[in-house]
Amino acid sequence: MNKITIILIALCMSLVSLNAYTEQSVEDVLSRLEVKMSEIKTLQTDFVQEKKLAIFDREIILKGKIFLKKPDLFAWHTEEPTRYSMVIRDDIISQWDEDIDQVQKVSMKDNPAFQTVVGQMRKWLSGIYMPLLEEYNITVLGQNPVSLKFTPRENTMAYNIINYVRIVFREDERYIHEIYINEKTGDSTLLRFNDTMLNTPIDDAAWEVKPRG
Amino acid sequence: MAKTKKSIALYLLFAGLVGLCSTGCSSVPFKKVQYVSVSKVQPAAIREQFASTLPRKFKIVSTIVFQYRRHKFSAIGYTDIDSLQKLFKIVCLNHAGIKLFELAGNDNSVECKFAFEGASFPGNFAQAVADDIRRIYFDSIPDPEAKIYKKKKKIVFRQPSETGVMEYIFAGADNLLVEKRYYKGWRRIWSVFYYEYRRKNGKLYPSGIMLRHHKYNYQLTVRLKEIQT
Repeated sequence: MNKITIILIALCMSLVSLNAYTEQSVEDVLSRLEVKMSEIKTLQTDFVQEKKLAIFDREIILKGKIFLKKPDLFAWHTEEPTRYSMVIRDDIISQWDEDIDQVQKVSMKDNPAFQTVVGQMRKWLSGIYMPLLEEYNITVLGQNPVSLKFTPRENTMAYNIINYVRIVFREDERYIHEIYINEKTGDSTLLRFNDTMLNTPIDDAAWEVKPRG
Repeated sequence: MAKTKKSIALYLLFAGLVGLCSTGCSSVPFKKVQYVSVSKVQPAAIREQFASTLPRKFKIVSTIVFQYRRHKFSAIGYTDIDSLQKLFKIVCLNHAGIKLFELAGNDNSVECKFAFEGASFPGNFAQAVADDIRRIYFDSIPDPEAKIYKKKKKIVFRQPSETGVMEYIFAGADNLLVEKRYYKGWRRIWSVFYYEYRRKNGKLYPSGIMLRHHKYNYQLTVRLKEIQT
């Protein structure tokens, strides 16, 4: 066996082991993130949502705050371009917006479309991505900070809508820093989280849908 | 009657999709027009002046509230209008940034580019939205041949339109278009009211628009948030 053959065999073996390592590392990374995310009991964060619509030249910017308190409280408050609040408590969604200026309640059970919307939001904000392996091919784009790419598998509902989703975690891996969704229509959404506070007490006003000053 | 039922279905669907159902009211959330005497105003000059300040191509961000009986829902609309070529595009998002639908159309037809999956939009949904966009943004200048009725504090242009009659009412300190009315016979079918004009780059944009469909008894309130030039 000459030197070149030995080098080729060694190279092939290293590639095989590298591939195995990569596959292993996706699951490892997801498990590690799940453990860290499961430590979160409360979350409050500012968000900036940059939406690029294929038919418009300029980005659409939405700004606001998100609050989460396990096990069953979630609040989304948009402050720009319009003021809007949505609080989910168990199965009930309460909403308010500045134009209608009335608190309105709806049950998710009676509203499948809303269930889908909230389901999508929860899916990406949860940080619990292991169950998504059935629906998406997940690849690790980077380790420091952790960055994941979700590409929908064929014959899934998401395959017809999404090209891919990219999620970048904070350096301490305790929560998400940004979510980028690239859609088949040419639209894209970048949701960035700033001033995120974990496991700190949340003011009761966060769970109210009335105007917040 | 069938169309009425479709309209109801459409808006109930929206109420369901966006999740907003409540008691409605029909107050005007904009500054009312201050009517002044038009005795010294030349109607033809008003028409020309308004035509010169009306933007032909523009993109706007607005919020839209739809109200049908006791039901209301609101959304953020991104609208691209070319009133000269009679082309439009509209994307509606809910307040959390989720796209509800995207339509593109012209004076005669409309294409639904996207509709939120999980919501079973009724067949005439795109047509109903397109009709309202045309009522609001197209044909905003009366024809030169329109009959002119000069009243004490307003000027009315009246002309045949489709199978009915269209009236354009100009009033206020600046003598701007404040209302469009469409009649069939003696019956008023719909009206569009324009409030609080805002000037940008020499062109005028109404900050508030209300469409009242008298026949189907629904109302749209459009609040201008941003003009993208």
